[in-house]
Amino acid sequence: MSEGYYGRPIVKPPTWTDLIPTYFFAGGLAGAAATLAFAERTARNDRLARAMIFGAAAGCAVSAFCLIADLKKPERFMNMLRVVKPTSPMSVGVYIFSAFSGSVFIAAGSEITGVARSAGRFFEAIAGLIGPVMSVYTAVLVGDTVMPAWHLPRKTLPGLFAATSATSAGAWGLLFASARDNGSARRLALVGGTAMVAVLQALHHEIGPAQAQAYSKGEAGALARSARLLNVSGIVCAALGKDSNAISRIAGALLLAGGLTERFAVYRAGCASAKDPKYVLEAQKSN
Amino acid sequence: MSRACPEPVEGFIDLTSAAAESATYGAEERDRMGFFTDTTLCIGCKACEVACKEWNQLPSDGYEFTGESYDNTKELSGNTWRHVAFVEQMEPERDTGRWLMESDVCKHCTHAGCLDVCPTGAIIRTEFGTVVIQDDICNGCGYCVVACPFGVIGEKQEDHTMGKCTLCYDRLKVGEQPACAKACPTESIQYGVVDELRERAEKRLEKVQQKFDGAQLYLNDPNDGVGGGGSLFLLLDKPQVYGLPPNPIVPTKDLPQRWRTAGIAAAALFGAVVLCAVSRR
Amino acid sequence: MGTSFGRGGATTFQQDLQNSDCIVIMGSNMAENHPVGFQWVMEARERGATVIHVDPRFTRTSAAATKHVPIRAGSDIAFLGGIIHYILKNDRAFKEYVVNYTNGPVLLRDDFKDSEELDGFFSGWHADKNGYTHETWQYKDMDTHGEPPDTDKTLQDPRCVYQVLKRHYARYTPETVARICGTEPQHVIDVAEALCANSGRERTSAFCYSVAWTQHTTGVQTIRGAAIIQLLLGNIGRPGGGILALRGHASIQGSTDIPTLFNILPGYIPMPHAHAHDDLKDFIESEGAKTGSWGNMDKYIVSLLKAWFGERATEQNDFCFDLLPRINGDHSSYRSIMGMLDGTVKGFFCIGENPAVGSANSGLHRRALANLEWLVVRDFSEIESASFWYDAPEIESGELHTESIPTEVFWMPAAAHAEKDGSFTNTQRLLQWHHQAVEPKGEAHSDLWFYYHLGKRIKEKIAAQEEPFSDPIAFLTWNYPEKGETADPDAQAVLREINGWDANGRALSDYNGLKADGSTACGCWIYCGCFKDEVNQTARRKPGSEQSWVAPEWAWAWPANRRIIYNRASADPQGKPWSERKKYVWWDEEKAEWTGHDVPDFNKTKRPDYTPEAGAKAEDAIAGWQPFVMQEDGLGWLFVPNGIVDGPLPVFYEPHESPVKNALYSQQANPCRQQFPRTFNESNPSPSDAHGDVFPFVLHTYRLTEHHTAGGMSRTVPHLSELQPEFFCEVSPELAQLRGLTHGDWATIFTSRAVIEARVMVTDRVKPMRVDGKTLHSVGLPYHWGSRGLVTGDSANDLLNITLDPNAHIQETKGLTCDIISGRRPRGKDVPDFMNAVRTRSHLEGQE
Ligand SMILES: Nc1nc2c(c(=O)[nH]1)N[C@H]1C(S)=C(S)[C@@H](COP(=O)(O)OP(=O)(O)OC[C@H]3O[C@@H](n4cnc5c(=O)[nH]c(N)nc54)[C@H](O)[C@@H]3O)O[C@H]1N2
Ligand SMILES: Nc1nc2c(c(=O)[nH]1)N[C@H]1C(S)=C(S)[C@@H](COP(=O)(O)OP(=O)(O)OC[C@H]3O[C@@H](n4cnc5c(=O)[nH]c(N)nc54)[C@H](O)[C@@H]3O)O[C@H]1N2
Ligand code: SF4
Ligand code: SF4
Ligand code: SF4
Ligand code: SF4
Ligand code: SF4
Ligand SMILES: [Mo]
Repeated sequence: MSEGYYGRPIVKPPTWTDLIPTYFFAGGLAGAAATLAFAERTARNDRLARAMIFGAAAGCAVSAFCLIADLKKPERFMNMLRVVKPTSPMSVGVYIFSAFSGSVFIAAGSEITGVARSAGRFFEAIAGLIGPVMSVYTAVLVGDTVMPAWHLPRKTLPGLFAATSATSAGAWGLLFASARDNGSARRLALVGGTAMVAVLQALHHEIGPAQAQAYSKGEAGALARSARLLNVSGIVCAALGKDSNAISRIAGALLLAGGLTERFAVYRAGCASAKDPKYVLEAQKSN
Repeated sequence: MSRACPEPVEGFIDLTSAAAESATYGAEERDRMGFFTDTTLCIGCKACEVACKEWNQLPSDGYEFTGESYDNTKELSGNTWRHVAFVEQMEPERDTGRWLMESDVCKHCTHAGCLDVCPTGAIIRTEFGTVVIQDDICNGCGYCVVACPFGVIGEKQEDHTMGKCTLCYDRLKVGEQPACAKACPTESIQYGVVDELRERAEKRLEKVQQKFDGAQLYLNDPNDGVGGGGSLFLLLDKPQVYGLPPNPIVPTKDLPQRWRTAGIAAAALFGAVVLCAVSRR
Repeated sequence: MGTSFGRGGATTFQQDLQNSDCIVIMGSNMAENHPVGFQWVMEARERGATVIHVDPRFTRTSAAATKHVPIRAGSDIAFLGGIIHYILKNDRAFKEYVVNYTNGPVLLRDDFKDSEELDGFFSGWHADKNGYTHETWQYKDMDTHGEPPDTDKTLQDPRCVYQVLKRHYARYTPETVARICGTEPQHVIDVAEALCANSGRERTSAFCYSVAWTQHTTGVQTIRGAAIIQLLLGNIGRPGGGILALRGHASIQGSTDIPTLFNILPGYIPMPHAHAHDDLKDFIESEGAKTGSWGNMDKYIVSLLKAWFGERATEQNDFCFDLLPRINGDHSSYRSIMGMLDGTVKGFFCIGENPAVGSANSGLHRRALANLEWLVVRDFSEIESASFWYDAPEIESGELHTESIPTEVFWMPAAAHAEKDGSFTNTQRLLQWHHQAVEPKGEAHSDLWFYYHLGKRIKEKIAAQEEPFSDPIAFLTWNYPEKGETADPDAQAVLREINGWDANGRALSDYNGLKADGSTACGCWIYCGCFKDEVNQTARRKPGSEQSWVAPEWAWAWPANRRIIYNRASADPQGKPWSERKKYVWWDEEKAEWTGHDVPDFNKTKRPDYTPEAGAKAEDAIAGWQPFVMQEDGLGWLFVPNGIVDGPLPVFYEPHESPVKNALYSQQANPCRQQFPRTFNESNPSPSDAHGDVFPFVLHTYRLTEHHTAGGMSRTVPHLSELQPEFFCEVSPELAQLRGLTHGDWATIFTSRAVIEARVMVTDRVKPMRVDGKTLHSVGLPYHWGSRGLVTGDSANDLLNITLDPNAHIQETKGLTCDIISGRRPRGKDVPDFMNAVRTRSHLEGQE
């Protein structure tokens, strides 16, 4: 017979829809994008900064939609704001997200309209500073669950989220800024993309071969393999396409797709590790 | 007297809302109440399941034949707060054997993952030390579902909020025992003050162990990964045989470290961006 | 039970099981079907008692027992015989009890011949009449002088019951029994030894049974087997002992006490027979006994007639005895069904039952209902018995057509127990009152309302006619206080009439107060006392924690609030408790009365050494040491000289349908069983017949905790339906392999009556049997499903055959034959085709 009790899950997989990994993707992108916007602004590369703050805004808009849509009743989002709960990464995250997206929207709004420019810049700076936290807190959020595939990579999962966010933000820059302006984005995409591949390796190592199956088998595995293909081709294009707008855009698109796919791979891995009781049993054996 | 507010245990984050919220009950705080489910007395009648649904007016979960012994309930869910597990273990020659039955329920953990992570404060620790979801506050975010080491919580499809055993908070309030315990004909479900239940469970184990090798108490140890359960169990076999995690740990246990690691990752991300931005050619 | 001890009810109560040292649950799945009572078995187990479950399947009861013994369905008499053999062979009987309290020492007539001598028949068999005459079964010299029979207190005389018993059971050795039952000899020995070791002065054992004993063509004899064991081991009338008949429906005990049966009046007074009972005197003389409690028959029947006919009943008119209906044969439920098919029964009240699903051969029942002129169904929902005319399986298969069914169906909603006042009489003869909690919804009314107002209307119509034939109804007292808008009659007033009143109209306090002169009225003599002191005793609810463990102040038990009956036997002949540990009722010399934890089931002041004078009547004829006060001789009957039609001792016969030959006698099945051979009630051939191998598997049916009987009350409830959503069959892995059945998939099961389908549950809990060197497989079916409700499925009862126990007219539902194949069953017109092929294969076309 199958393991455990008729092979039934010991812990429950998330009730979430695919909006949630989409949120991780969009939020991660927005965070890193805002930081890059801020850095570029400081380095007086306004064109890239502009592209990046719009990227951050787009990411925030998608994120907000995902979060609220997943609750099915939008007004319920407000329930989150009735308490501040340090033990809940989601509660903490809601405030991070609120502060961050608020800042981003003000900055982007000012960027478009030209109104209240200095306030815009101020909030752009704020967003830039919160950005990395925005990108990474979701790793804590999923890490603080009993899905073995999320819970066990204590050290590497935040790194993976950071790297993926960096890649996606860089990719955004490659896609929406001209080759002339997107140097920093390209570098960020290259650094992020390479880190992503490396951290994934480390993650598999951290959780060991038995648990790593959650990442390498089934739908999660297929997604991970597609993500790797997309990312590696994206990196190659990004590296080669330095002077070509077209190749840069292709690189950007590939890496964006790679990042999104990677998010889904991680998400599915978590679900898989909940649905098959062997992961929980294996994890708790070694504990 | 056992206070409803569980003492903080070393290694757990001290900010647990368990401690914070329960402390607010002040004079209204009651003895910590819970269950001792003695599976050696369970006859698998499912009266507990039915009593729970009747009392809490929960709808059926659908009509599916599983073929998994006499268990068509399958698992705890948003609308099923008691679940009786059936495990057939016949000896090879099959004249004798065991048919293990266990009535599962929320563990009302001392360190409750669900409560820790709930972002709305919908999940509270009551004056009885029990863990209750207030369904008018729950926003359906689903975080508690993935934070429970026992897979207890599920979604109520009707309104997309989450459901689980309330330890019959409404009945406790008026001095009644929970519906399931009341319905159980064999006292397999014993309701009472947790400290007393622990003592009783230990005595019972001594007796049962003489006959059954594998007999063990589950969630009786305040030093286990969830700080012990408000509902404890006497099992005749390994927890996983009944679909229970052998070594549950509240996910928030290492939350501070997680934030620290995340902080490093965020800093690295910031650094990387800045480096990329300054290292222009 | 009635024939062995004197009363047809459980001898003990469920709470008393906690005092048992050994409990044998056999023919019952107590944990699943009586879970609340089962807590006392668990309590006994926790106190160290041995709990044995004998059942073909390993059930939830087996799981809680200390030992499970699998046996083949229908082999119980052999198994019990094995235990009796063991007791007698090893001289383990409780001699003092046997010698003083049973008819073990009584000598039998010389011309009595045992079934061992006549190959499965007793003396007195008349093949032409398919029945016995009983005179050779009588005690020696009884008919010559009306004195106590001859006895041999040493139990040595070869004609004494004890020695007859010994010879009767000589061949029921553990080995033989195990071969018949498909079990191990060691199991027989273990169970017997556990019983012996836990009986005697210091210890007691109890038996629990239910319908897996009664629903056989040998049902009554199986219970007799247990009675013999318990009498031999001295376990009747003592705490922790007894035989607990576990009843079914909430008030099934009540419905035999105040019967829905055709052949008895309230309180087990026989129904008068046309011709045999011309007048009251005749009746009392032939049906009453000279000695024992039945010696007061005149008081019981006259008081009953006074309750029914009131002022109209006078000494001059024989208290209206004439107006009672008369029976002239078998008018039992199944006989009436045959009448419907034959067109002789034209109308039918179907109240509180669902024969289209719940009765054996439900297909035949549906055909019978479809042949009526009118049918009244009162139930909570439109059950299958009300909807058959448009959704029966026979309509789908084209065998019946809605247009051509003449039955006019009146479906009326009924109020449930929480919607009305009333009482339940439960398994342990306990009357418990329930108060109305809510008003019935919509058009629903209580059954009492229905009968009362129906009666009123009939009386009105009849009053106009003033014909003599209308007297039985016109004379009936029919005036209960009415309550509320709906004019519901007051249920307590009915209970008070059942209790009865004296000449001054005051409620009687027990049946000793009944008179034969017409000055008392009592609707049911055994219930007399339930309204003692003008208080509804059945509504008492003093918590158990505030009284002794016997809890005499919780509700009220018949007779006279006794919880363990025949409890005089809990003391030795001198009236002292057998042991301190098993003290219950004893003689208090100082007060010169019987006293103890319970109401003594004995004349309170009758000394233990009281010896009746010659010619003493009724209870005066019972000696101070004779505990079975209902019996003419005050003794427990190991051997039953009268009152039972198929033999004074239990004999092992194969079920009516069986895949094996009777290993003990050439007589295959109970020769007295009641059969109804006809189309759609064909019998599967058994081995000694031709083609006896067409149905190779044993079929038996049972219940699940999650559902109730025919399902009208559980398949309509979501919280129950989800727990067992589908009809399934339980089979062993071996049978699954043999027939290619896949767990969770479908199987088709058929007999010569019907073909049905069920989901397959392959489980190790079912074990193939080795019967007489052959491997025998069984198919187990819960019978709760039908075509309506939240969860639907085929009805197991479609498969069954109607063949009955000759005493109780109960059908054999446990132990028939069938075949099983993989996959779903045929549908529509393919059904009759399939069935024709089956009947051809078993050469049954011509069976009529
Ligand atoms: N939950 C629930 N409780 C009920 C009912 C219900 O439908 N559901 N029905 C009520 C009613 S009306 C009644 S009458 C009682 C009946 O109560 P039970 O008599 O306990 O009912 P069954 O389940 O029909 O049969 C009991 C057992 O007999 C076994 N069996 C079958 N054939 C044989 C045989 O030949 N010999 C022996 N020794 N065992 C055999 C079956 O495997 C089964 O486990 O339950 C009452 N209680
Ligand atoms: N194969 C097989 N067949 C069996 C048995 C078996 O073991 N095997 N067991 C047999 C036994 S022991 C029994 S008791 C029968 C049971 O068989 P049935 O008596 O035919 O079945 P139930 O479903 O109990 O039917 C009772 C009906 O009464 C209704 N009812 C309940 N309370 C009230 C009320 O207060 N008033 C009115 N008017 N209606 C009410 C319920 O809704 C239900 O529909 O089945 C018998 N048939
Ligand atoms: S068992 Fe799960 S749902 Fe219950 S208190 Fe513990 S964490 Fe919460
Ligand atoms: S789903 Fe409801 S109870 Fe669960 S964590 Fe979210 S808000 Fe709290
Ligand atoms: S305590 Fe109440 S809510 Fe919890 S399982 Fe029991 S009956 Fe249900
Ligand atoms: S009510 Fe008690 S005996 Fe019945 S299944 Fe539940 S725990 Fe077991
Ligand atoms: S259903 Fe009623 S009668 Fe049957 S066990 Fe439960 S409480 Fe007792
Ligand atoms: Mo029954």
